[in-house]
Amino acid sequence: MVRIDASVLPGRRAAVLASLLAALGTAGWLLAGAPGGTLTLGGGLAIGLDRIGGFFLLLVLLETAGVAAARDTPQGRTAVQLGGAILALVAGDAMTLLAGVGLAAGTRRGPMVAGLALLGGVALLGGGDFAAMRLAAPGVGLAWCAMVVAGLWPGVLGMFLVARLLVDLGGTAPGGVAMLGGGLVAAWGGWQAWRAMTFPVLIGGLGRMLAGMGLLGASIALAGRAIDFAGPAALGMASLWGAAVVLGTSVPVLAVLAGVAGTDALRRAAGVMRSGGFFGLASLAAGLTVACVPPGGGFAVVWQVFRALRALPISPVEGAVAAFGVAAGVSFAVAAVVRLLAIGFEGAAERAAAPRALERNVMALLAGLGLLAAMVPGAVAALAGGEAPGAIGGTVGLLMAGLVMVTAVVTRRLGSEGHRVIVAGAGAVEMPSRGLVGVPGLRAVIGWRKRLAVWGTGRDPLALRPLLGLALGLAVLLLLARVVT
Amino acid sequence: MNSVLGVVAAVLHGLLMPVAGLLLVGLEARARALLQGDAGPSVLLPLRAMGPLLRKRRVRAEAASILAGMAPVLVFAATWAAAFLVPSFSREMALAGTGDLVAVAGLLMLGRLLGAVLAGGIADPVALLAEPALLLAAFGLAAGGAAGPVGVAGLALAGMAVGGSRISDGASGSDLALLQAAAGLRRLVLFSAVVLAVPGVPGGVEWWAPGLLLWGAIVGMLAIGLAVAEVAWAPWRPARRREGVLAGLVLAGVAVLLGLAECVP
Repeated sequence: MVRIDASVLPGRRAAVLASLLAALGTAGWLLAGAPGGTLTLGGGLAIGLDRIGGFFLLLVLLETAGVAAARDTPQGRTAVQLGGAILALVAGDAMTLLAGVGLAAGTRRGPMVAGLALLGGVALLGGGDFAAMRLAAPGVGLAWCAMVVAGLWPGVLGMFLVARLLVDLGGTAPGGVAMLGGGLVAAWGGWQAWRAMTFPVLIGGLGRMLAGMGLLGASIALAGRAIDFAGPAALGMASLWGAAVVLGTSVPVLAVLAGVAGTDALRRAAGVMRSGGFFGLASLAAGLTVACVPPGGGFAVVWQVFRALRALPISPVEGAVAAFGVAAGVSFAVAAVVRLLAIGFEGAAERAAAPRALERNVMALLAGLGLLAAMVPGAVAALAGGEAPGAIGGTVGLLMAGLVMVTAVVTRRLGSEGHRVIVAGAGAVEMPSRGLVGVPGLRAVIGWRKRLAVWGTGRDPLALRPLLGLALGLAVLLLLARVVT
Repeated sequence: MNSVLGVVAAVLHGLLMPVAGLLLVGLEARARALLQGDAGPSVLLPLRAMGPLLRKRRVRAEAASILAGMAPVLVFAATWAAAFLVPSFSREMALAGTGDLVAVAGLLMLGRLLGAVLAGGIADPVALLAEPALLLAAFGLAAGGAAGPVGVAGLALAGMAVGGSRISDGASGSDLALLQAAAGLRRLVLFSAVVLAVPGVPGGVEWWAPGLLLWGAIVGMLAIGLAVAEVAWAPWRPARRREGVLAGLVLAGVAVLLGLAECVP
């Protein structure tokens, strides 16, 4: 018999591997065009995985790998909760969705019950059949429901419910209510993260802030769709997917951190990131991503939300609340991440943190995906005929890489292979968006692993001339690209 | 031809900005001293101090983290990258259209975040609202009309109130030089964004010389205005600048409302 608080699998390594393999399979299924149909189980339940469910299933599996890698942490998801989440994601009708969400809510009480009741009400529309619900077009009710859900379920499942309710079933739901809600939820989540004294509250707050941005993205998409304005609608959708990717990849890194620190209290995690190498860099990358600063995926979300809000003819109050909410949420999130990184990197260590290989690798994988998430919304927006923030992000990333290199050379602090790491970063950012510096970028990506540790040590400085040449070359490439385009 | 000139303008602009940032810090200090009846330091002092600081050996604690080595470079580079995106003497620079003020705010926020981590935390969370004020002001400015002047005012207030950021007490040598340069550059970027939004400032490559003069004059006036405000008005003294940031944020918010009201058909 599976206890309600039992671990997903007895071995952490097995759980992580199983999650990653399942994620790989889901990614393959999505790349194959997401084939499939609906299967009726009986008892009023039906399952059927579609693109939305598949995308969020991939994120849940990645998140599960991260959570499973964290040892001794109360953030760990139980078997029943994970099963419930997966059931909700593959639900083919509203009743199955409700059953899955109910199981995923686990033993949590209070406002969750209200949220479940609200979802139950939605499930009654059109007899629970998704196709009938789309035709019923419940409008403002769904927008309110999505707002409550985003506030109550700050995780990937909450974001999935927002996508399912607004993007899939929403139809002609008005974007205004959801826009107001998105701004408020983003600001509230950021505030919670800033006031947090423990990892669970910090993680919940950051998750809520991102859920608010996702809700905002969905509402922008609805508003754009209502007036056949493809550009902002594409940017809104890209914001939703981007916020979900950041939530599913970078927030679990913080759970792994809590696991390594062996405590829930932020203060007791002092010095936990100082060990350097992959662990420190992954913590930094995840922190920058969830704080919504460049070059992380979180910043791509903010950028797209602002661009879309500026382009849409919306009510001043809704637009102002949304813009204020995002700005406030981001500044609170930055403050929260500053505190986390200051404690983790610069705090006096209370205990010797020794992250294991499994934790380090899972963190590096998730943090890398979180950073690359900046590219995904760009690609989506470009395909949808909107603007391509990926290309802009790529150029800005390359510019910053060149400037980092010049600064490091002038102050004589670049390690022997540090420049290749920078080129690798620039290449990785630039290649998907514009195809520039493909060869040097690719070459550097291949050899990046052993060179990271040299960065910042100041030992074995490389000769000045080749580095300056490289920096100059990058700068010329960048400027030429700008001229050509 | 214009493209080539745009590239030349971008390179010149990129080289000019760090120097101008340090001159701005010197100008502020000089103006403040003169207003208080002192001779004050030379305007060139921060610039002259850079050379010896860059040559000085960095002193690092034994237990310093990997971030302590990287952060000063990243802080400066992020702020410098932001400076590249905000045009100064010509609006047809090669990189001027690459990003927008949202990207500029993001890069400034990255610099502030890393600087604050290096300093061991945030002294005053209100200081973090300068970049969101820039975000909101940018939003209002894009709409134009009545929102423009209000957005400019909000941006100027926020820029004057919080330009630099707290510098780590333990920084030394080139670390200190980079952090000081980044602080000056940050204020210059915010002021340049104000210049960008002022209607009537000339654009186009043919306007380089007058553009440079006008840009320098407006930025200089903002710096002197800040010094006057600091000396004459208690709320603008460095310890109480939070009111300025908040006022800037509120004005930027009003600009958003006005801007959106104009967009509604």
